[in-house]
Amino acid sequence: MSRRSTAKIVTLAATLAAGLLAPARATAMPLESPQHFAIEIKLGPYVPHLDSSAGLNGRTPFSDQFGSPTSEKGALPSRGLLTQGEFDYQFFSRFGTLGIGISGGYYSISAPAFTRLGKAPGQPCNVIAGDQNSRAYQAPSAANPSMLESKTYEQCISGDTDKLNVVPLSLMLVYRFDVLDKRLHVPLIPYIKVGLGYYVWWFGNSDSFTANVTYNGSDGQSRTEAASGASMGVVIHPGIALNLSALDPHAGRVIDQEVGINRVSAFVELNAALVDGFGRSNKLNLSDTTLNAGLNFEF
Amino acid sequence: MKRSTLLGMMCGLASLGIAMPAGYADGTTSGTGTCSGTVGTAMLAGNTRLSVNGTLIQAAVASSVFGRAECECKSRDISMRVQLSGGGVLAQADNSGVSMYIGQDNCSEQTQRTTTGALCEQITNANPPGNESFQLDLAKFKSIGPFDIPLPAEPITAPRPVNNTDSPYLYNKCDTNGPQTRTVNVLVGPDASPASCKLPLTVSTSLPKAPTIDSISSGNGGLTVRWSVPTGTAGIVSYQLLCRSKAAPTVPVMDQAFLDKTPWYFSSCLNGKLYRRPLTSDAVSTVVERPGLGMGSAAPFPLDPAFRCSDRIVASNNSLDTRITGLANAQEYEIVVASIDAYGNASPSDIKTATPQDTQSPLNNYCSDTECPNSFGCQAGPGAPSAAGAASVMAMAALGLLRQRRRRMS
Repeated sequence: MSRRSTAKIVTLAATLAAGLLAPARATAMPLESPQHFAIEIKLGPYVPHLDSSAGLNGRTPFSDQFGSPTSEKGALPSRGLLTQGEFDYQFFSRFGTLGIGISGGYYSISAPAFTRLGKAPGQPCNVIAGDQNSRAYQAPSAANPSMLESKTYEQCISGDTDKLNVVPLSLMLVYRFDVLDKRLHVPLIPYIKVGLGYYVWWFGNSDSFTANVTYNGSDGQSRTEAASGASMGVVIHPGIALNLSALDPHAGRVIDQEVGINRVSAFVELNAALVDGFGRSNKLNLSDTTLNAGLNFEF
Repeated sequence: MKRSTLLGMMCGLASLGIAMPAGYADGTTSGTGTCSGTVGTAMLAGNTRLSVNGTLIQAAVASSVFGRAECECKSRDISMRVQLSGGGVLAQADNSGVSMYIGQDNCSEQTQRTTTGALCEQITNANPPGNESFQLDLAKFKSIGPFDIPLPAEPITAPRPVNNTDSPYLYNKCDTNGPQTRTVNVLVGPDASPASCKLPLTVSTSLPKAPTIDSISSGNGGLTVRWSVPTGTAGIVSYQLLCRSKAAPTVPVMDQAFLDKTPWYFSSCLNGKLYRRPLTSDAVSTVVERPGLGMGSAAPFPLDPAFRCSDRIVASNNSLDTRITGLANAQEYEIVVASIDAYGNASPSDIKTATPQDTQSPLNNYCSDTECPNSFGCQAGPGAPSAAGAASVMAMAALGLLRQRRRRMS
């Protein structure tokens, strides 16, 4: 590399650094209103990886019940819509903004309940891998309960519906690198959110909002308890936002002066949730990695 | 409101099979009427409505009170409520006659009352049979206080034509062949030109189309019933499901708490009892003793309200479903869906049987021999952070940063 081109690169880098580090240029425009908060509304696909929960030993009960009966044995059920909202408090804004955020949302998936066939207490159908890994159904024979006989999907399901509900809650540190936007007028804001996820879940059914589960406790006694719980884990959301206010700066300033919204941006972010109770065997795995998109309002 | 909007709403109601109150030449609608005319120097003025056992019948059903069950059980406790207005009462000295006719609209006219074949039947305490308690009191037309005149049901649904010689008259076996209009006429004053209190009514004893049960799916302590009626079926306003256990066919399936809070929405005349749908604003269905009347005990189930297993289901679609809950697993039940029209007439579907079966909780698959993952706490192993702990640490960190910033600003 020649000495002249090296000098050019150094000059360019110095200019860029000066632009980033220097305080925003004073203009004749009115000052921005103070900015301390952000609200987000975001949507994205989601399906919990329940069949990756510890202790299942290769069984895939979530796929068996909530997956499509025409899909392969063990295939993940189709992703549903996860709707989320987030509120951030921004406590640092010198070089980008740093804040603390909480988010919450809702997701649900429904499927027909599996009947317990035969005499009480009865057994539900087993879903096994058939030809070309398709789903096949087996249940104890009515004549000889020790023998398994083939069943159809329709014979295995009941008229009731089971529903898995998930409310994902997160507490995060949020850093938005808005220096490019504020100082160089490049309306792109890369950001990252890292925090803890606490995903509350419960099964409902046709009879009740929260279903019950009956099992034998460690003392050997039968217990009936609510089929609900929560798993904790880590959430990471790197993303990039487009400052919509920058597309029409005049309108952006008017909105700021009239209602105090400093910036409206559209964003896409990775929704990486590793929420499996840190691998404990008595926790459901509600992890998934998908994309979210939404709108952000900073004020 | 635009006229087209109003028409649209009316058409919409008609397409749902909801009976609209019939309009009459004098501007009244079915279920409400007026008193008018002159008797001597006094002018009769006021209005009429329907009441049951002294309580006004709510306007929504007043136009369609008289259905098949009222006719079959020959009910006597529905009355015409007369409310005269101030200045619209007879003079105290008046001693002209008072009489009541039921039939076609113009049977307040003397000609119609004597024309052979005209639907214009006079009601007395000797006609129809079993009307001994009927009483018309001229004195009551001399004050404004409201009073009730009992209406025998069977001549309202099928009035005996003038000079009919059938004895006893069968009242067409409560078969009106679709909705018909009737008018109750109470005539006060001279026969030739009496004042009258009129109450126009619409009656129908025709049964709605019976639904077909398409499927019954078993569930845990419940059954999901799907039924339908052919496309274009009109006249059904609601459905109600009935069920009974095959093992205990005489015992109502639902518990007393359900039966107490769930009225039946059809009327039926069974084994000497008139089971009447809610007619008054308290929305309570009632039972009226009518010994010796009604269908015998041969087929009590399909329309015996004691076996009701659902609330009312509005006929919003040709194909509907609902879930009956509170049933016992592994017990066989008989299920009937009754279609109900605006007059409380009901048609039962064919009886189908089904057995509720226990279902597997989805969470059972995730339970080991000794524990299930249904806990909200962390129960985390050594070194793993708890949710509350992590939240506290993050909150304290944020608070610390905030304080630092404030100190710098000050």
